[in-house]
Amino acid sequence: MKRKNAKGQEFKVSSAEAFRWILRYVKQKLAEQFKVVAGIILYLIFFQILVLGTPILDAGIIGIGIVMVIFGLTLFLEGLLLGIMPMGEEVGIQLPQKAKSRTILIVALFLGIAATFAEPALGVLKTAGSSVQAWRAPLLYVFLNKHSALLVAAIAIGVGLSMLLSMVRFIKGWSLKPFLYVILPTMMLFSILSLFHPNLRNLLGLAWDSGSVTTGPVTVPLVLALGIGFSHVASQGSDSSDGGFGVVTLASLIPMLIVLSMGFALSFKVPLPTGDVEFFSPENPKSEYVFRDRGEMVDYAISNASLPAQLTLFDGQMQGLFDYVREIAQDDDRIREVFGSKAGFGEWIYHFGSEDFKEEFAHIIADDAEQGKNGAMSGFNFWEYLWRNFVSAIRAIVPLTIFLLALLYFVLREKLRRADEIFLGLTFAIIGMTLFGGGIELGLAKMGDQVGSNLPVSFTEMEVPGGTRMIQGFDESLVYQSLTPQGETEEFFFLNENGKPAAIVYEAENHDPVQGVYRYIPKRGPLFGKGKFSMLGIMVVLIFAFIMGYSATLAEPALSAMGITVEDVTVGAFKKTMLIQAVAIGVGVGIILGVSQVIWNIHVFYLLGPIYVALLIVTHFSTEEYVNIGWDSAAVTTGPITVPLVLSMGLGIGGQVGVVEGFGIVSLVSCCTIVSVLSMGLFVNLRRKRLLNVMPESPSEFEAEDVAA
Amino acid sequence: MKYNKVSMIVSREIGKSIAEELFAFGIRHHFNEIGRSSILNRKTGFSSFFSKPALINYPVDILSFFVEDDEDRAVLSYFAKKYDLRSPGKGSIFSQEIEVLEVHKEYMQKQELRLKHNDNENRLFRDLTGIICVVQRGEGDKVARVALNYGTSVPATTHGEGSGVRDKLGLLRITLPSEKELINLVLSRHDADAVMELYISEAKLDEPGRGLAYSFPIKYGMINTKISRSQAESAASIEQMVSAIDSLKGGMEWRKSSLERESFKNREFLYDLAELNLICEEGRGTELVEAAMSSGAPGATICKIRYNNLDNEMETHRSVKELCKMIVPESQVPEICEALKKTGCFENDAKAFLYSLPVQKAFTYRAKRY
Repeated sequence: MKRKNAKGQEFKVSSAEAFRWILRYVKQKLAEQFKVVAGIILYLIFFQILVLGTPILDAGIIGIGIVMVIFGLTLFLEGLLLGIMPMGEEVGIQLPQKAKSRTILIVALFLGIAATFAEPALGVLKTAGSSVQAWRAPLLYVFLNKHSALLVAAIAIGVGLSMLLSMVRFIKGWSLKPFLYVILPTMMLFSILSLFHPNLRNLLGLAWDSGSVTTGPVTVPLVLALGIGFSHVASQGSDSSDGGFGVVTLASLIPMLIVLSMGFALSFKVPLPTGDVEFFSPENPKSEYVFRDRGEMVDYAISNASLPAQLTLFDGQMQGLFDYVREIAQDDDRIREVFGSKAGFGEWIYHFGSEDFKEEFAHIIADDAEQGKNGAMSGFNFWEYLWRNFVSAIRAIVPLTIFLLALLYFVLREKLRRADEIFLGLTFAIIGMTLFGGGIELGLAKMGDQVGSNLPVSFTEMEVPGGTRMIQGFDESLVYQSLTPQGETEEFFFLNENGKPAAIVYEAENHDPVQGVYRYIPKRGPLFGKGKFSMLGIMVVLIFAFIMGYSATLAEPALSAMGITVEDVTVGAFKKTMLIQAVAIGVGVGIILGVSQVIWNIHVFYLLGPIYVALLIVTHFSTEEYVNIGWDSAAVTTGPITVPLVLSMGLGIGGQVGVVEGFGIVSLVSCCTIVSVLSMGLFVNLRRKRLLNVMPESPSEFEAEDVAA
Repeated sequence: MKYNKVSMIVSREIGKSIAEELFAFGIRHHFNEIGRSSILNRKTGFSSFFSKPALINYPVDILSFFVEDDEDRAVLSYFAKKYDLRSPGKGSIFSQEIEVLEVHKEYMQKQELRLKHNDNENRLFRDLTGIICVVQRGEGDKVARVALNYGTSVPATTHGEGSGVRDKLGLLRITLPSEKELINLVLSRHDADAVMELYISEAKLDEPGRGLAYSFPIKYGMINTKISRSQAESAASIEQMVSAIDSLKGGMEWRKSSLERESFKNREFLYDLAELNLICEEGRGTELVEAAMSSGAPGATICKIRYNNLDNEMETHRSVKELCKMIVPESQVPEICEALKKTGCFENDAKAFLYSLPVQKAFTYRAKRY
């Protein structure tokens, strides 16, 4: 490669040299991500194999996923730093110079709304609420299903409003604190009121989480950079050394308020939480509102509710119910729609079906068993994963980019500086996000699910996930009796698996003598301590949770980008590593609280309430700079790596202890992060003060000398 | 036009009130660059055997403004006294003589300083030198530690972005990091050579692509000597005593370190250079540096600085500007100045401001010539 500079001197970069540079660059960037990802992965593997003693299923696929995560993270982070953030900053700088304030506010509003639609958090919220039962929390169910589009719209408007408010804040040079002082107590008030309403009480967790989850890995860095550029030019008030932070904070607080308010409005149309029989009975006409139409309600009842509840929909007539199910069974698509799969249909027949019924549909169940054998691997399509993630990466990055560039070229009439670099960065970001999203689904989330679902074995006896087997041709004469030291008799039989007969306790309720089938449900645990909820086992889980939260946070890309920005803006007085450490510790503590909440079934308010009070106190004593950074970093933590891990753990434990949903953990994590970062800020400032003895008021020794002289 | 550039390096807490004070004092525009300073936390007892003293960073404001040729002593004395900069740990203040080459009219408002000429002027030091060391981002603390360990005064580190040959590489440039750290140090003239040598060896400036260091004259100054913190065991800390002796002796020559007597490696320093400073609107730096490079400037380090000014209606305005520092041969200065003028950057578009400072000597890696 030969290039001339303007004076005609030549300097050469040979292709070998260029290649060496590229190699060094790639190696360095990969090594950084490898370190953080390896940390969390090795930890999960170590825990699953050595502590829980469970083999890793699909290890090959998970391996591919992890390699994808490392490459994807590297590319994505580089894309953020080269493309997305410089673009945001450029628009931020130009906006206040070239546009009228009305234009700025409209742009901010639209940007916030567009950002939410680009990275909808609904997936996460749906996962968290996947086991919510319509009759136990009707309002929550409505938000997650029938009105999910409305929920996204509410969050989008919330984010848009907060962008708008933030721009006003930068222009006027207002502090973030008054906003917090107003919004937090309002939220507390709303929350306390909600506690007394059975429906709203269930919605609280969702409302809180919706704020923290909205801010995705593209939006946050973009908005951060935009804010920084904007505040460089626009701020006319106090000398704002906090420069540009705080947008993300508002963007995670205001949506909570909006979701809660919507909850208030909808709560009049929705029935109160009850048992399923009462819920579906004709005396409860409001129930139909929860679903799109009556048909959906019946389908839902059949696949989820108890038999008496199902019968209330058919005026107590068994025949009516059976006719309805028979109709479903005619059509494979309907079966999938109502029961999820043929296996689900089989379950229903096993539990509720009459003898005739079982015989009638024996072929479907047999079909299903056949499919189950060869279906495990055939459903996996690598390219489909990749394509789906590519589409969502495009969706997250391209519309926002087009919006910003159109704004820059047509409204602000400026050209994009370093356009080649920015476009390269955007390409990196899209490829990175594709690989990284796919890798998380294939590798990290799977790994997290496995650990999460096996985790409760540490403190309680539980069914081995996916371990249930049907023993065909069960012969009752092979059941033997044994004695306990207390002289009680117990029945058991031998099962020969893997060529080694093992004694298994016989439970009569799992035996179907008519079909000659025994449902064998293997159980394990508790691994540590004794009893149903062994304290020792719970301690192990909590320690696991802390370390997992801590090491997952280190790998969060948006946090990394934020750390680099903070270090840059404060010229190294606030180091990236310091911020990330503080955040990681906060996340760890937050997850401990979240898991305790699930294990002991504490309503999330009783944990969040005191933390919010603590937050107000530390916020009050912290400097503006730290308040902005601390609050923003909280919104950043809850990203694509931490959230799936946290949720699968929460749901895994929740499923064992009978808690319906995984809401609230995410917001506990956010709040603990803020407390952690602000406390660190207070500590660092205190230490600096002590070191420097900054006490401008006190007269120094030399003043006295001056007088004497 | 000869002017004096006055710079103050103070901790962030004081910085905010100084900005207001400057306006009240009659200084209508000043620049503020944020940076960090460091202090060594010397541990005593057992643990000190194992670890180096920790480097603790704190944010500082580097405020700078321009005053007429004869006003600097009085201004320095006023602020040194007002903010007690003579006590170690409070901050530093110094003035440099600059040559203003070309300037947009925005910066040329007449200033009426509220000066009283009875300010005590005797305690300012005259025999000072400034050293700036530019290294890759992340190496700054290492260099700062050298300065602190040597014990002359407290350095202030700022961030910048390198611009030069890298920008001509096309997209290949992204493989080379452009972020730089600038370590600004003002110290006794007698220690300058020794510190320069330590910088060169610690930051390996004699290897390619590491960075550069250069020194420049300081007219008057008062420097911060609080380099470390150790448990107070006496009525006055070492720094306080040193500072007291400094002011009694009227200089720092008495603390000439033994290091200076050591024989240095025979370094090939560069002479007859000037530091060109170009201040312009944010985002314009890169293209203006390119224009300067076409006339022989080797490259630049671009820093973001805040510009605060008071307009005729006494309203304050704040904005962020870019400061491009270029080390160029003195003989090249007029040509570069012309080239920049041709870009029209001194008009309303980029509102540029160009001034130069003499550089005593500089060091960086140079490829062997055959």
